[in-house]
Amino acid sequence: MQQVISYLLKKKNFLFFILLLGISLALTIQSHRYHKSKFISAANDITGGLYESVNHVNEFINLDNYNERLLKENARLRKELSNYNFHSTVNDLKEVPYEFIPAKLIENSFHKKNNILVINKGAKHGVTTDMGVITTNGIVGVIENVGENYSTVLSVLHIQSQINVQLKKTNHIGSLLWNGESPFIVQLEDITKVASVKVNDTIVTGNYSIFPQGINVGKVIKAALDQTQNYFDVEVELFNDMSNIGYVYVVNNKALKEVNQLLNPDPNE
Amino acid sequence: MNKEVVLRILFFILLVLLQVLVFSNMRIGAYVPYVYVLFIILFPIKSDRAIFLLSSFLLGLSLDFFFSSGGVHAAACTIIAYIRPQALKFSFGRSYEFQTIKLSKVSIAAKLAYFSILVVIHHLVLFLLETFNLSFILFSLKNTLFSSIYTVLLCLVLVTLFSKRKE
Repeated sequence: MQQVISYLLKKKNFLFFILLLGISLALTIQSHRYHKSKFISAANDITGGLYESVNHVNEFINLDNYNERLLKENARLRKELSNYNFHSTVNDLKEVPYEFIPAKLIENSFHKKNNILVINKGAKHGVTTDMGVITTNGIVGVIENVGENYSTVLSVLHIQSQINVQLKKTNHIGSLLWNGESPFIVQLEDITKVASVKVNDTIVTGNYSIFPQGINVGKVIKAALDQTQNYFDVEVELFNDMSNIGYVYVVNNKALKEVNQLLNPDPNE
Repeated sequence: MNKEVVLRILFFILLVLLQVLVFSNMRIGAYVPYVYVLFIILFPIKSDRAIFLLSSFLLGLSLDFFFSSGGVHAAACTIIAYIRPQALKFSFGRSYEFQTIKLSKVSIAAKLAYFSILVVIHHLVLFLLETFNLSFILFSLKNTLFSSIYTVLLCLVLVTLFSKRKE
C-alpha cells in the first residue's frame, strides 16, 4: 500500500496532467456533440461585456454602411406597406407568428471552420436557443447558447450548421451546409434532379424552419448532378457578406413551437 | 504573495486581453497568430510543475470562453506545458536545469527551435481538435504550418523588443 502511495506521489504531476487533459477533452467532445448545452461559451457577461466595449470603437468605422443599409430596408418596407390594404394589415397584426428582436453583432468570425458569433441580446430580451438570426440581406445563423445579456450564434459558416432552404422558383427543398472553404459560398444538398436548378436561381429559407419562409439566402452559382445522378450538388453564393454584418434581427417563430409540441408531445410538460 | 506571482498574473491577463482584442484581429488570410502561448514559453523554469500545468490549463480555458470553442485551447495548452521540459532539453541542452536561461543570451537558433516546438505542437492539437473531423485533416495541417510560422515570428519579435527594453 505504501509503495502504491509513494508511486502515485512520484507520478503526481503526470496524473495531474492527465486530469487536466481529460477535462479539456471532455469539454471539447461535449461542445462537438451537444451544441445547445455548451458549458464553455462567450454568452456570459465578462466576455460579452469586453466584446461589446471594443465593438463601440469598431462601430464608428462602419456607421455609414449600416445607415445606408437601414435606409434601403426602410424604403423597401415602405414600398411593401403601400401595397397592402392598411386596415386588413392592422387586423392581421394580432396573429403575426414572428417576433423580431433587434440585436447587434459584437463579435464576428468567418475564417475558422467553426464560426461562432456573439450578439448583445440574451435571455433578458426574450432570446432562446434555436431562434434564427437574419439581416436585411439574408440569414446569419441560429442562436446556440443564451446568457443573461448576450448570446452566441452558430453561423451558417460552421461545418455543423444545417438549414432548411428551398428554391424560390419551384419550392423544392434542400439543406444548406458549409464545406468550410470560402466564407462567401455555401453548399446546398438533397435537391432532387427534377428540380432543374439553374445558375442565378435564388435560394430562400424553407417552410418548416425556424426562419420565416422566404427570407433570401443566396443565389446559385454552380449546379451539377452528383455521382448518383439523382441529386444536385449546388454551390450558393450568400447574399449576406459574412465579414460585415453589424445589426441583426433574432427571429422568434412562435408557430414553430406549437408545431414542435404537436410533433413531439413531451409528457413532462 | 510575492512580486513575481503578481507579475505572472498580470502577464496572464495582459496576454488574454491582447490575444482577444489585438492578435485575433491580426489575421492574414485565414491564419491567426496565437501569441498567448508566450505565457507558457516564458514561464519560469524553476517553478512548481503542478502550478505551471494548472495555470496553462486556465490560460487555455479563458481563451475557450472567448472563442466559444469547448476545451480545445485548454487541451493544447496543457499538452505543451507538460512537454516543455523535453523542449527545453532539446533546444538548450541538458544543462538547462542548472543554470537559469536568459532568453536574450541564448543563440537565435536555439530560441527558434524552442519556440517552434511548442508553437507547432500547440497549433496542431488546437486545429485537430477544433475541426474534430478527419476529413479536414489537410486543412488542419496547412493551418498549423502557416499559423505556426506567423505565431513564432510574432513571438520572437515581441520577446526581442521586450528584453531589449529591460536591459
